[in-house]
Amino acid sequence: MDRALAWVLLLYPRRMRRRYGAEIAELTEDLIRLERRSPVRLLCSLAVHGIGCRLAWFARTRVATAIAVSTSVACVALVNMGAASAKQPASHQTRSQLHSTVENRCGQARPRVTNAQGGTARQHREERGGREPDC
Amino acid sequence: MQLPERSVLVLTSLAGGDKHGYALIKDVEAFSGVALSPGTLYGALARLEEDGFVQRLDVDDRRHPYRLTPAGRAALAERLAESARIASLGLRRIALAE
Repeated sequence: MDRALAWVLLLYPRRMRRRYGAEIAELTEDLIRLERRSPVRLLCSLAVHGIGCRLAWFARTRVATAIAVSTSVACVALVNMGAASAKQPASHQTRSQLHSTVENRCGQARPRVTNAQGGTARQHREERGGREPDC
Repeated sequence: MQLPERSVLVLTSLAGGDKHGYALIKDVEAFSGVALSPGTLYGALARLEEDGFVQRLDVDDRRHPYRLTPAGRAALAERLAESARIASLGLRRIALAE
């Protein structure tokens, strides 16, 4: 009986086993001896509860680790993004934006702005009889 | 904080005085008819001790008695008041429906 109880107690997380293991064993023996409770039933109940405790502990530690890692990664990414944007001058434009601006100033081309119906803004104005403003 | 049912049973038992595991199981069975298993009892005690609702006392004849702390008493009072409110409402509704 003692041996079976010791094996069943191994199912519990170490921390709980160390703190309450002796008390659980003693209480189980008391219930068998004084209350005539079924040893098999008690051992099965202890085993199920021990597995439940271990799974809960495992889930708690895995979730905590996942949260800590993802938060760290997010913080590092945010810090890197902040550092990168701080290095760029305020008037900085991407190559395509710069190209588009130069074309607009020279009257050679305008960026194609698509409206809700799928046509460009120029097509829409021409359909309404309007004309492009001079550059 | 929502206390599980078995924790309420353990706290209610400890509200009557310090008890060790065996005495707790006997008392809970006597007043509620619920036969706690050793695993369930010590799972509840571990959680309650972690939350500061019960205190584990020094060994007394190879057994550790447990004592209800003031925080545990307050949590139990709150939970029982809530249960009493729900019970009262339910009984009133049942009486009205009959």
